[in-house]
Amino acid sequence: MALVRWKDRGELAPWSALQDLESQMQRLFGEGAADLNWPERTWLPTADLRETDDHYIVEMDLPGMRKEDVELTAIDNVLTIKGERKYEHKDEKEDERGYRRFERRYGRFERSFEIPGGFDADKVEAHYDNGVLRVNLPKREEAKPKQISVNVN
Amino acid sequence: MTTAVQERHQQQTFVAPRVNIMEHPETVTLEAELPGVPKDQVDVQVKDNELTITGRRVHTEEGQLRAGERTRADFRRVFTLSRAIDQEKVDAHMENGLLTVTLYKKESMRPRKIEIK
Repeated sequence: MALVRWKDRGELAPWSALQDLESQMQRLFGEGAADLNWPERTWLPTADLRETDDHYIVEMDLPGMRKEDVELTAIDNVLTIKGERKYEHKDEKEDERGYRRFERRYGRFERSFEIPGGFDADKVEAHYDNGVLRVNLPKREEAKPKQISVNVN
Repeated sequence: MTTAVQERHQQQTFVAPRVNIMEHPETVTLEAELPGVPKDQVDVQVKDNELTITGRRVHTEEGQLRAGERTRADFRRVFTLSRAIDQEKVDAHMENGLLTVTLYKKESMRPRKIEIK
């Protein structure tokens, strides 16, 4: 048996299998996988859906956001609310900030709501107050309940 | 034993708001998420080495609730403060449902740089 020189890459280097795996992952998932970044953090804010005779109301808890970071889109019967809560302490020096607790969520979120019977997209109104987004969705004329009087003779 | 006047125990349940607590050399900042709580419904108290945050939610009762995920309960959370915190000086700021409380460390508890001669 001959002595084999230790090589960085070769069958005897214990990490060569891992390096092979990494290059295979890169081939499989493309360049993006090469950075081995953590997946982008996402969160799902809680929401309520209410219904009155002539409109729907979507209320979403979004504490500590900026109005500009929330976006609403309406397609057919679906209302989509998306946004991003930005982490705002990046400017502070790392060594001067010690976290004792970190429970708040940051990053992007996106939620869609299908409104039964649809809504009038031109008349949607949204307000952001006290950290709650409130969206008013007027029902379409044909979706409103109608009073039908029946004459009984 | 029944007495003439009895206190009715409030069976109110609270939910704990999510918080971030950051420690700085001279201060400690606490951020608490209180969505749906107007500024005048927030109560911040420091007493007996405890910091208590209470926030009352304002609800819409319009129409019928078709899907409800948001909590109906009010917020409350109690924190024990270390003796390094000056209990006489507390700042609180409420914006967009986010409460920021700044606590100050006592002068004697702040880090001091010691010069090597």
